[in-house]
This record gives sequence, structure tokens and C-alpha cells, in this order.
Amino acid sequence: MKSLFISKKLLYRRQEGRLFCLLVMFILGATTITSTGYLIRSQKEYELNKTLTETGDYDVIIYDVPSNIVDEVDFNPEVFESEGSYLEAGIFSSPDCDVLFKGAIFKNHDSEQMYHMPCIRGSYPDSENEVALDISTAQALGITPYPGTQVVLGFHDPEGAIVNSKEYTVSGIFEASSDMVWCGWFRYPSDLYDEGEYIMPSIFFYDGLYNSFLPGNEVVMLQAEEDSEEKVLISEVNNIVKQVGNGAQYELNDFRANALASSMGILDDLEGEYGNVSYTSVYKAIDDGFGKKDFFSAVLIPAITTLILIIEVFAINVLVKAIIFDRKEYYGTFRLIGVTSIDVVRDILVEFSLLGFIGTSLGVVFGIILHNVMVGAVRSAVNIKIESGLIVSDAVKVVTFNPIVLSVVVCLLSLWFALLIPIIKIIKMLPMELMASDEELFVHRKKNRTNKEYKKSAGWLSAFCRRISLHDSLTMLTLAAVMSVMLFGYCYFRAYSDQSTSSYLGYLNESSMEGFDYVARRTDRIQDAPYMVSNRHSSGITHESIQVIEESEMTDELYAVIFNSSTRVVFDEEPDKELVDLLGNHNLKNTFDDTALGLAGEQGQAASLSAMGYDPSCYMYELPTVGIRERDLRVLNKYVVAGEIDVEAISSGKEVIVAIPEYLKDSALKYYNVGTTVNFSDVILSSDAEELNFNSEEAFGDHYKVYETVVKDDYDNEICTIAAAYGKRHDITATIGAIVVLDDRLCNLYLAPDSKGVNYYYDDNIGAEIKSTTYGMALIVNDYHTFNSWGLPDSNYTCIKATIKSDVDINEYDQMWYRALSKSQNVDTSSSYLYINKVKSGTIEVMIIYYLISISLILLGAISVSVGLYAKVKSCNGDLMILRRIGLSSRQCGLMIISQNIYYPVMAVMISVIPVFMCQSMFSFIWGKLRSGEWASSYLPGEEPWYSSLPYSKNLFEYNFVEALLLCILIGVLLIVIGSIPQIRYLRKNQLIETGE
Amino acid sequence: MILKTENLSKVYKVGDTTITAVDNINMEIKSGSYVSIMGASGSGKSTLLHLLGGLDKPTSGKVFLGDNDISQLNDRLLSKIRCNEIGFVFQKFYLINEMTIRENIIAPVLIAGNKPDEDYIDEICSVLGIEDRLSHMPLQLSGGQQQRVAIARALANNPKIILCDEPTGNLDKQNSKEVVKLLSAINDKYNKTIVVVTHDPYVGESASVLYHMEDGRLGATVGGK
Repeated sequence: MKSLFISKKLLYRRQEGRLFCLLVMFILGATTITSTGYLIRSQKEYELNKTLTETGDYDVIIYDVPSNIVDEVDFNPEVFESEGSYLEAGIFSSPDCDVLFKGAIFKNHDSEQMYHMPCIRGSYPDSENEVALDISTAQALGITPYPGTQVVLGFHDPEGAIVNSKEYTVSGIFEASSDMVWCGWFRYPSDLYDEGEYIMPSIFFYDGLYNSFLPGNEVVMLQAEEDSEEKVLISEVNNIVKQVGNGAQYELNDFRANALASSMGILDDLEGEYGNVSYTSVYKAIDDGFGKKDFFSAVLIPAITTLILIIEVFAINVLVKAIIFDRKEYYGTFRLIGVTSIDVVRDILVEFSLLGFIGTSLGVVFGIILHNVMVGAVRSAVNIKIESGLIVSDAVKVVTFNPIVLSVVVCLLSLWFALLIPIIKIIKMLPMELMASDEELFVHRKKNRTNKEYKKSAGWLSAFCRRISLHDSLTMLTLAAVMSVMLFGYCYFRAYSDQSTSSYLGYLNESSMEGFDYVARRTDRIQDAPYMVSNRHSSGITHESIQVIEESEMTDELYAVIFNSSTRVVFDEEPDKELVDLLGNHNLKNTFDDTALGLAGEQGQAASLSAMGYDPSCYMYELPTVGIRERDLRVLNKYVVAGEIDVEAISSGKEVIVAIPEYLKDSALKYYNVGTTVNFSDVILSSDAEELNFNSEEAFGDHYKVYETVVKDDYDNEICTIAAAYGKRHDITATIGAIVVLDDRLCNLYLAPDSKGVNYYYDDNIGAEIKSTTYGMALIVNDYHTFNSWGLPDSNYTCIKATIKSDVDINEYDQMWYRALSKSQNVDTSSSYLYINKVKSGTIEVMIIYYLISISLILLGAISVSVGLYAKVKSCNGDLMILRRIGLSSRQCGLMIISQNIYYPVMAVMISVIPVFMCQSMFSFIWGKLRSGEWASSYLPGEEPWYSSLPYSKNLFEYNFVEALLLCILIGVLLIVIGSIPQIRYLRKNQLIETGE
Repeated sequence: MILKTENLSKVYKVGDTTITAVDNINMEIKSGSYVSIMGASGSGKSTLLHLLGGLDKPTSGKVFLGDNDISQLNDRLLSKIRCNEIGFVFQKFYLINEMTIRENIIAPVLIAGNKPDEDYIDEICSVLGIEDRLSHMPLQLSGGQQQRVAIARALANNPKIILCDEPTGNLDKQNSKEVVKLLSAINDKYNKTIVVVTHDPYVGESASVLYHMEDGRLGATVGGK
């Protein structure tokens, strides 16, 4: 009698659909929470890995350990959790490049992991003919930084001679952190070596070659045991260093602890709670679960789980009520024959809990599968090595929720909340009440008792709809909640991803791309003398490189210039201010003070100038000459304000074009009119001086010394002042053929192709955005033709800028670009590719979480809305059947349902816009307060205000709001259409005659 | 003939059991006649009425309304016939409690897409004695009054036939007499064909033609008023 009767077949008559819906609700809820939770863990782990890439995943690093004794060193397992090392294989160079690189070999794969500099393309070598290197090394070697590229490397002996050369295939490119952090390397052992004294390894060979390169020096990396104290660690490391001898020295890598603490959001709080930031304090914090959850874990997951909980409670409640209602006669009968209400309740609880358990278990499994699929999709979409969130570090676990636990909790809570009221009703009801067929006991129906007359002109639809309301406020709320989350989520997530990737856009801005997709510049190595010579060298972008790029169908626009900044004008007398302004204030002579040191400097400068052929007392100003291609020269015709452009005369060096920005037009016409002869000069270097100028770190003074003296400074220190002269004056005379006034874009292209240009900055005093320029007048000529005519050896281009066509695969273009530039020497290239890829991956990382949540919400919403509408039509079934009997056709009935249901998405959309408006108002408020200075825009670490992590500087309506809104409406309509199907099916299935419920 | 059946049968299957509710019935009902069908519970009389009114589909046989076979019509045409050609009165009244009495009465007119003929509505309400209850809600009325409203609704579209399924089943004796009187009056005054299914001898014998039904079969005409 007391046995469970849930196995009784009759209980499941006509209930398969509802039970299936219930199961699906649990599955969807658990799938969403599990996959989202793991994605968030994955994203967090990825962030941590990115930081560790800058620091290395080790606590201690020991340099200069002889490889022949490294195996004999005893690493105390109580202090060190694991160890790794790489062998410094020696110095390498390429026949095409004079720069020297350090080669290294990891001892094993664990060492590679510990070094933690993963490849952004390809992987570390798998065979002895392969190497992995970083982007800047590839650039210096003049090869394409892509796997598959061939490179010849020569191994140097200790004396510097190349002992053997071999061709290698690049297997992988790792991104040296130098692009992203101050001074290149967090890893650089600056406490042990002076800058430049230690060469960081930039080429890694195959692990299998480890023994072939022995013996040499190894660099040992150690990870500390979690519970070992720092002083014990230091003592152990000192012992190791003592054992090793031979000048081995170590450095503690606190950056790793910083990275872990930073990923846990406690970098600023750790010191107060646990003492200094060290691996010991971080591990203690991890053990104690001390961490700050970020936006995803602190806001997003609670919000989504609450929403899922509410939707599930509502939908499960409706389904459970419908199921129990259909069974209540059986329950009544069981009660009559002696089963207690507690037995009934127990059986209901067991049955639905079992269903919940099965659904949640399946959901967790599906969630894990979905997570892995999504991680794979992100990897292939943006070529980012995002790891699965299933296995993450303890630091990440501390600041994220356990997705499985969360899924189970939400499932249990939603089930219990949903069952609460039906169970109370079951307990309270007598057996005879259970057997009665009053469906309103279980299905709530709002009575409309008003007897106010309807409009006499109204048709059947409005008359009936007015009286028989199929509206359900809970369904409306569910739909509104789903659509609000979708619309608001889209706008907010886009803004959030924009904010989180803004640093990459910042890098992009700082790289002076100025709207171009690719920029290449000749590298100038000497920058310490204002009267330096930085032009005319075989280095720079060759015509061959430009031809390849220009002939590529992927290139949209290409500008190339030879910017010669060492052409100059000299005056016997000080020129007036207007002329100086016209020349961009680029005084090439230094001004010295009256001290002994200043006097020595002035004498040195005078000696240099004299040796170069200039009067030491002259006034010397830079007058850049800019060689552009004939095609671009013709384009300038429309900017001519005086004279005309004669390409032939320009090419022969007889004429030049004066180019100026608009604001210098009057000054230019005053001093340099058409027909005026311009006398200027340049400095010609000998080939040795050129070599020294571009490819050597050596001081000129060692080679071309013209002055040397020792003076005492203010602190009585003896200072040696040396001056050098490394070229001869070369005079040029040309006539001004035309004057052109350039707009900002052309000024940046031709007058300031390097770091000079038009800048905008916000001036707090003026309260407006200010434009500033750092260039003056320049002479435009016809690229190398003119320079050759003048006897200047400028031949290669100093700067090229390219835009690519919109439908081009940027990955393909990137490879073409590097291939083309491998034909040029001493060229540094910036591409928007890396940054765009990072922005893209950052956006996808964030948006994929949104899309996952949205899909789950749509599915959950569809079921919830269907269940809600179904319950509503069921409660109104009696009235609808009466109308059917007296002639209402099923089509009219359907129309009645649709005409009422159509209000749901309309209302829900109106509601869904509210959160976006409210959030945007809040952002504007915060932004206004910050702009007005009422709120401080900067704050101390650890004292961040509540709004610091909000993307308040963004406009939520900027992110395809209209399209998102339309999509939301479409989804709302779709949900209602899906929800209407069970309603219409229910009405169609119903017989017009009474056969009993 | 306004209503005619040919070999009309309706068979239900409940599990493995087959129940023949209506068994090969051939009957003809003349226009303007007042017919009652009597029988015990489960004899199939209500099923027959549902088949006659197009509320249910026969397993076999035909139902003619005038010259049209309505047994094979689709839902749209059947709904149209139920709305315009036939009026129904049920034992449980089947009024919509959310609508006023007036709205309940004119519902079939609205469904048909017509404007209510106010004079006609007033007239039938006056005949049925509910003219002062039009703004009330159904639950504010007694059972007898609710059944009168149901009769008024059945007449609203001025149909040719009124089908009544146990119209006095939920009423006391006094109200039953009133309803019977009203049905006779409607038959006389408006010349409507009335078919009443009942197990109440008083109601059955008030008709001009009386059929008896047993085990799904229609017996001979056994007289009437």
C-alpha cells in the first residue's frame, strides 16, 4: 500500500509531452550554466596565461648553470614542486643579417610549459630541422614570421666566427612579450645584468638536439611548493647556487605571484591581508579562497542563474500543476483506499527529483560538450589558443563558481520552489476534492466580472477578446525578461568587450598607423645628434618590395616616400620667428648653457660643424626633402596654390615643390615664392660611416673624433666630452616650381611620415580638443630620380603605408606583406593585423558567452512561454469550447489566440528597451561627473570606485542597436509563434462534445 | 425534410472494447416539427443529437440538412452551419460567465459577422422573459433564467432548427415546465424545427413526434402530443 506508485503506467497517460518538457527544462538550465561557467573559467585561465606569458611560470630562475652538472644538483622536493630548464645553445646569425641571436633548447616539454611563451602561430619544433622564433627576430632576419618559412642560421664559436650554417624551417612563432610591456621583458634579469649585457633567447631548437649541443650553460626554472616559506626557498636556492658554483646566480620571479594575485583580483589587497606579494602569500590566499570575482563571475553568472531559476520555477510550476491536475483523480482514489497525503507528496517529490537529477546530469554532460565545441570554435575562428575551462589553475577556481555545483543547486532550488504550492494544495485537499473535476483548483484563472457593455459596433474578435483574456502576466514577464537580457546583454557585452580590448586599440593608435592597415619604416639607429644623418643608405624599403605589394590584388592604396630629414638650410644671421615657424622650429644646433660642460659641448659642436663644412656660427634648420612617386606627384596638381608642377624639371633636380600646411601658406609665399632659388645642403657619408651609422652600437667618437676634452661638472666629476664629424657638406640649389597646400592627411603622409604629425589632445584649460602639428615646410621631389640628380644616394623608400581591400583575408595579406618586405633591410613594420586579431579575439571571447546565454535563454524562453500560454488556454478552454459549439470555427479560434498573443512581443520589446535606456543614462551620468571633475578620474590601486569596471565611456546605442532591436522583436515573435502552437493544437484536439476531462 | 439521416452510425473504441453509440439510424424530420428523442442513459440519444448538429462526425452514414450532406464537411463549413442554421440548447447551459447576458445572446450573430437585429433580440428576450436581465452576468441568474438565455442565444441567428440536449436536466420541475412551454411556443410562434433529446417523459411527450432510442437504435415513432 505504501509502495511508490510512480511506476504505475496509468499515471503517465497522455503526459509524455509534459514530462519531456520538464526534462528539457532541466537539461537546458544545466547546459547553460555549465557551459557558461566553464567558458568563464576558460576565459579567466586564458587571461592568466597571457599574463604568465609576460612573466614566466616559475618562481625562481637560476642563470649560468653548467649543463654537465645540472643533473647532479639536488632539488629538495619539499621546497620545489617542479623544475625545468633550457640550454643556451649559443649565438647564431643569418648570412642576410648582421644581428646576433641567442639560440636555446628546452630540456623537455615541461620546461617549455614553465618558460611559458606559447607560440601564437604553429608550435615549438618537432624535428631537428625546425626552429621557433619570435616576430621581431623574424623581421630582423628578413623572413616572413609564419610557420613554414625557411631560414639559414650560422652557429658562432666563442670567437664569433661562423662554424657551420644550416637551413631550418620555422615551425612556430612565439610572441615575445616585448611588444606589450615596458622595456621589452619582465623576464629580463635586470637585477643580475645591465641592460644589453644578457641576451634573451630568441630562437628555440628541437628538444631532441639537447644532448648534441652539450656542454653549455643552462638556465634552470623552479616552481615552489605551495607551503614552502620564502626564506626557506631562498636558502635552498642559495645552496643550489653554491653547489653549482662558477658564477651561477638566481632571481626570484615575483611577477608570477603578481600574475596569480592579479588574476584573482587581489593584487592590491594581498599585502594588507597576507603580507608582501609573494608566491607564499598568494598560495595562502588560494588556500583560504580569498579572491575577488570579476564581472563575469560577480555579476553575469548570478544574474543569469537567477533568471534561469525564475524561468524554470515558473515553467516547472505550470508543468507540474498540469501533470498533477491530470492525475488528481488517481491521487484521490489512492487516498480513498488508504494512501496518506504524505505518501503522495513523497512520491511526487521522488518522481520529479529523479527527473531533475536525470535532466541536470544530462545538462551537465551537454554543457561540457558544448563548452568544448565552443572553445574549439574560438580557436579556429581567431587562431587563439584558448584552453578548455575544465582543467584550470587553483587561482582561477578561487574566483569562479564551480559550474556543476551551480547547475545542481539551481536545479534543486527551481524544483523545490516550483513544487511548493502544488504540494501544499495536495496536502490540504480531501480525497473527494481531489476527485472533483474543478480544474481551477490547480489552474488559476482571473475572473473578469465587469458587466460593462461592449461597443455595439465591435466585431466578434474584439467582443470576445475583451471578455476572454488569454493574457498571462507571468508569460509576459518571462518574455520581457528574456528579451531584455538579450537586448541589454548585446549592447552591454559589446561595450564591455570594447572596453576590455581598448588597450589593443590604444597600441594601434600609438603605432602611428593613422588609418592605414600596414606601415613599414626604415629603422634609424642613431638618434642622439640633432645634426645627424639618417638618410641615404641601402637599407629601407626596396623598389622590388613595393612592386610586390603594389601588384598584389589585395592592396587597395599604397603610398611610398623617401623622407630625407637631413637636408638643411643655413643662415648667417638669425632668421626671424615667422621663418623659423615656417621651418617647423627644427633647429639642428644644440644650445648650451654657460657652465664648463656647456662650453665644452659648444666647442665640440663647432668642431663637428667645421669638419663637416659648415660655419660653426651659422643658424641651421632642417628643411626636409620628400621624394614621392611620379603618380603621387601628379595628384598634387589639385593642391597647387602657385606655379605648376613640372615633373621633368623636378626629376632632373632643377625644380622643387614647396609643400606646406594651410596655416603656413602666407609665410611660405612671403619667403619662398615660385621662381625663388633655394639653397640648401645635405651631408654625405662615407660607406664606413654609413655602416657605423646604421648597423653599429659603437660611438662615432671612436672613429671620427674631431674634439675631445675633459671638464668638471657642478659636482666636481670629470666628464669627457667627445665630438665627431662623420660626413661632408653637399650643397644643392633648386628653383621653386610650385607651392602646394596640403590637407591633414597629405601632411601626415608627406610632411611627417615618421612620428611627427597631426595630433589631437584634450586641453583641460581650454575645455576643447586641440590640434597640434610638429612639422613645417618641406620640399617635395620625384623620389630617387631627383636625389640621384642632386648626387645624393637616397634610393630606397623610408616609409610605405598601405590599406587593404575590405574583402581581403588579413591573414593572407599579412604573409604577403612580410614576404615582400623580406627583400628589404632594416625595416620595421607595424600592421593592424595583430591588434585587430587581438580585438577580434577579445570580442569573440566575450560575445561567445553572450551568444551562448542568448541561445539558452531563447530555448528556455520558448519552453516557458509555450507552457505558460498552454496553461492559459487550458484555463479558458471551457469558454472557447462554448463558442466553438455555437459556431466559432477553429480558424477563428486561432485568430483569437494570435490577435491576443501578438501583444506579448510588442509589450516585451517596449519593456526590453528600458534597461538599455537606464544603463545608458547611468553611464552618461558617470561620464558627466568625471568630465566636470566632480568625481576624480584617477584613483589609487585598491580604492577603485564602484563604476571603475563599467564601460561608462561607451554609448550602448552605438552597437547596431536598431538591428539588435529588430532581431529581438523577431525572436519575440518567434517565441510567441512557437508558444501558440501547443495552444492551437490543444484546441484542435479538443472534442466539441463532452467526453470528460 | 429539413433533417434526414441515412444509415447513420457512430462507433467508439475504448481500449479493446467497441461501443456502437448510434447504430444504422435512418430518420427524417420535417420542417417546423417538434421532435423528441427519449431513451435511457447510454442509449445514444445525445450522440445522435451531436451528429445531427455537426458537433461530431459519424463513423458511417450521412446527415442531410436540407439537401446538403453535412457529415463530411470541413470545420469551417460546419462552424458556419452551426452558427447560422442550427441553434443549440444544452443541459449545462454553457453560457460564458465573463460575458453579459446580452453578449451571450448575440455571440452567434457576432461570430457570423453580422450586426445584431436589436428589435429581434428584444422580441425573443421578451418572449423568454429575460428582457430585464440583459446587463447581468450569467452567474447572477437562476438556472431557469440561464437556460432561457441559452434558448435566446440559440434563436439569435434565427436558425431553422433548434437542437436541445436534455434542456431540463439541470432544472427543477417548475423551471422544466417553463422551458418546455417556451420551446412549444417557439415552435408555434417562429415555426422552428425543434429536436429535443431527453429522458424526462414530461418533456418528451410535449413534442409532436416522439422517438424512442435503445442501444443506439431508433425505435418506432411512439406518438407525442
